[in-house]
Amino acid sequence: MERSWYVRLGLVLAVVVTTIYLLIPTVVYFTLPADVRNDKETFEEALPSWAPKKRINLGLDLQGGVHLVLGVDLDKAMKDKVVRRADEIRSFANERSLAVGSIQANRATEVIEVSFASTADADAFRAAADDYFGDMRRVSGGTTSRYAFTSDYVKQFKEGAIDQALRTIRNRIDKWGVSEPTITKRGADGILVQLPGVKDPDKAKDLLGRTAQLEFKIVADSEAPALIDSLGTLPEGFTKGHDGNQPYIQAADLNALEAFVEGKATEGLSFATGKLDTRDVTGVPGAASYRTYVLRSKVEVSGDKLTDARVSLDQSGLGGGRPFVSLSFDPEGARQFEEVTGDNIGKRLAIVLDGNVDSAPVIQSKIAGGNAQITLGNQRNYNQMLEEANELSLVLRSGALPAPVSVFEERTVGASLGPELIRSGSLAVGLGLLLVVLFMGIYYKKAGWVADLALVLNAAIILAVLSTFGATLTLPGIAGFILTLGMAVDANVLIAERMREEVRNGKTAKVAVREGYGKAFTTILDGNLTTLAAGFVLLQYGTGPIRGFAVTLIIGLSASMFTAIVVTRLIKDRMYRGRPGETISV
Amino acid sequence: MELIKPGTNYDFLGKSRTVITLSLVLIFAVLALLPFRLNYGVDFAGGTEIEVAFNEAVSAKEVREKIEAAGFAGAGVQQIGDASENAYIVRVERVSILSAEQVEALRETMNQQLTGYGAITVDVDENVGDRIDVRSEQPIPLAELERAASAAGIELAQVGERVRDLTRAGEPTYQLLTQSLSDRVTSTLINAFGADEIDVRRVDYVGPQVGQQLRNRGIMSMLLAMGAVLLYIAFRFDIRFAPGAVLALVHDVAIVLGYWVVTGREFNLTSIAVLLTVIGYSVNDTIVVFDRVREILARKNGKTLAENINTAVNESLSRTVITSGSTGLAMVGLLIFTSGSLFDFAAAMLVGVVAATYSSIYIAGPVAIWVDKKLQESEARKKAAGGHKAKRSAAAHAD
Repeated sequence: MERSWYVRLGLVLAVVVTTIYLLIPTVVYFTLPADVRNDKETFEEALPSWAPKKRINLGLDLQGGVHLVLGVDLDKAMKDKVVRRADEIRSFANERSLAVGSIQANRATEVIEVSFASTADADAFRAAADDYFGDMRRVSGGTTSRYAFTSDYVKQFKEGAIDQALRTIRNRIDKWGVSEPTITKRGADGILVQLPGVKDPDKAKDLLGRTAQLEFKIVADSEAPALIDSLGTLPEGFTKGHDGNQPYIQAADLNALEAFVEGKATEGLSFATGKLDTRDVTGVPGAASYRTYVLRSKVEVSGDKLTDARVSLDQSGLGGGRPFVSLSFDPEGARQFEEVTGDNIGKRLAIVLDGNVDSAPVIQSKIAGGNAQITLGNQRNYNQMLEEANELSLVLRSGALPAPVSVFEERTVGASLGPELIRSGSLAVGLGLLLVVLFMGIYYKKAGWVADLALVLNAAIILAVLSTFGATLTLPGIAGFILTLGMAVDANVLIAERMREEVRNGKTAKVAVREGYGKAFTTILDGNLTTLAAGFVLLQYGTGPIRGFAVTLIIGLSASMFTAIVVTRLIKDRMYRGRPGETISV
Repeated sequence: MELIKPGTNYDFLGKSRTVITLSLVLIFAVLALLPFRLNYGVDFAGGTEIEVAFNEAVSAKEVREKIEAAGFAGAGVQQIGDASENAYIVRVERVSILSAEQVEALRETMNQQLTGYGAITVDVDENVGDRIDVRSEQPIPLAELERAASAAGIELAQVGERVRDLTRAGEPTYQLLTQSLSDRVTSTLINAFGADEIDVRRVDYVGPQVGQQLRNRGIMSMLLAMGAVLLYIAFRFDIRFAPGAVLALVHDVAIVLGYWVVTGREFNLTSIAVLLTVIGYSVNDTIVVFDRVREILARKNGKTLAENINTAVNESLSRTVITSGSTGLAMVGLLIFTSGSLFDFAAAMLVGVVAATYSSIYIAGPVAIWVDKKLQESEARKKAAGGHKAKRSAAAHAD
């Protein structure tokens, strides 16, 4: 055999071995009983340590679960913001003793109209306010000024509102303990939530649609040791820890941790939980772990008193551009905040969102006037600090300005339907594949059986590539899989037909193989590229299940070019070596 | 084994006039019927679709009566699978749980019963449908709001929050949360037949905004896919070939749409996947034939373009039939073992495969010849008029 043949053999063997290697997790997954295969630990135990971890996931339509597209009502959030800004303008004028007539917010036009008794009043106000409310445009005429948010601000605000809704939803799903949820933005105002295995759509919708509860509570560091000690021996998987201020209990399972401390707080105290920072020095996060916080049960200030929270950079020179979060309260909130900060200097104030402690800064001094700043710890680098500041401002705003969320799309599949669909889908694929294989073998004889070998390898490659992506197998994906295999034989058909022609023209077997592959090549390429183009458009368009179909089609057709051209050629070059009297079976 | 004997030479092009007329009639018939006969599924029309199975025999009529009694007039109930399964698909087309009358009633009730809170505004966003925004001048106790809502005959959510207080910055703002449409349909069935008797297998709810979006994006993606493959043909082959490929493509898409027009089966997201795949498949078939034409033309055998195209169609006939056959065979399993959208996928795909085979033989080539003839005629006229420049003979080569 020629040297190039051995090179090609090596390439094909490498592809075959890699394909088998990549398929291991998927095979292990599907051989486990259906009720335990989604349990991460069981799966990892069954998997050899040297095997890859990624596998094909079953789509929601096959294993049951809830698929929701939630819409964030950005317009309404924007209108709320306008109303609130009118209030801020009012207190701004009061604080600086600027004389204003009336301040009216118009929800429909999103414009705030401020009127003055005289042009002198108007000029004084404009001079002071223009700089302070730099995110608004002003149109003035005589004794009235109209303020509207700049388009930059509106854009930024809406993006912020989506992020904040996303954040709240992620928080809750984390707390709920759903395994492998998908939570992503979709389009300009949508959030896609997929909860595999969840059978109760009502609970999901209720949980996700609720407005976030933000509370400020004092951390009970001095009472904590006694309370933690009183809990006695801890269940397995729970450990004790100390953050320098108070002892805590740590566990990987948030639900178990919450259940354990439930109702165990003494009078005047309460338990809350928080995510432990498991990042190492390089900032790489470790496995998720949760801790308890002992707080005073009294809600010092509730989140709806907060009017805004934003990230600013310390420009004083001393701070070196360090990011911090600034917050503003409405008049009632300002009063409460002044009181709690005045009474608790040196203690920590926990920021609790939906029962989850996000941050607990130390109160440095009494804060009056309704504007506070939260600076971040020193230990981190700049990017980490900025990220943390952004996260914190998102948390604070979720409590301050919740953008209403509603259900745009809901698809729930009960647990009973999935197994039935998998069964009929597998039968359909099996029968389809069998028919194609028999047909090719009978029609093209040996060349057909070789093509069948390529077809089976093609099927394995599709599954292996889907595994490495951790792709999701959906019902349309199954249809796409079998359709792709039916279409993938096209390359083999083209080659076989060409070889038949060459044989008819009296060529020897070896020449027929060479000419057949050579002439079919451009046709295969042209034909497949156009179908692939349609596949990529589908991928762009597709949502959920349809994407699965498109991905399968694209991988299958690409792989078919390899299997039909390289793999079958390799075998035929070996079969027909130009010996005298050789006849080709096609 | 050979289905198509070598040396076959059918005169495909001779009959092209009749065949193309027939195809055009078919295309126009499908397109004319499309607006009336296309049965949009919830993906595009919005609404709720629920698949349920009962433990005992229940008739479709009973199911429909219960659903209609709950206020969903015109609900569709369709039995699926084996009769012994007692499985039904229930479809409610309404997308908003609140009717305009209910909102009006609520507005009246609120302004009559809730006095002393200043002017009350009631807003419902039709695109959301399960939420009522209420604003007033003075704070209203939440219990009062709930009472007013039930007095107006509006059912609030069964689980979780019913009324949200979103008062901010001194402006009283509330939201009344109604039961969502899908919950309402599901709970109606569960209440009517008992929780033990019924298995809710699947619930699909698509809001009006989403349906509209999906429909627009579906149309866009079809046009995009067509544009992409045509550019490819114009670039790789000859501009004379492009119109034939376009017509073949339009023909195939129209015939596949005809599947839904004729059967009245549900047109949903999977249907779009079929259409896009057919676009790819159709062009693939056409390209294989054109590839042959290009190859034959390169030989410069002195025959006319029409003769050469006919030869090319005959030479690639075997491949066209075999590939269509294997694609069709792959679909057989789906046709036998699946129902619902996958069955439609396979059946429509089969229609598409047959149409693509037919159009690559009878439409793509003849149109290319026709275009070529027109080009030559116009050149000849130009020659007769001005007549000095030697124009290339369009029939001689294509690459």
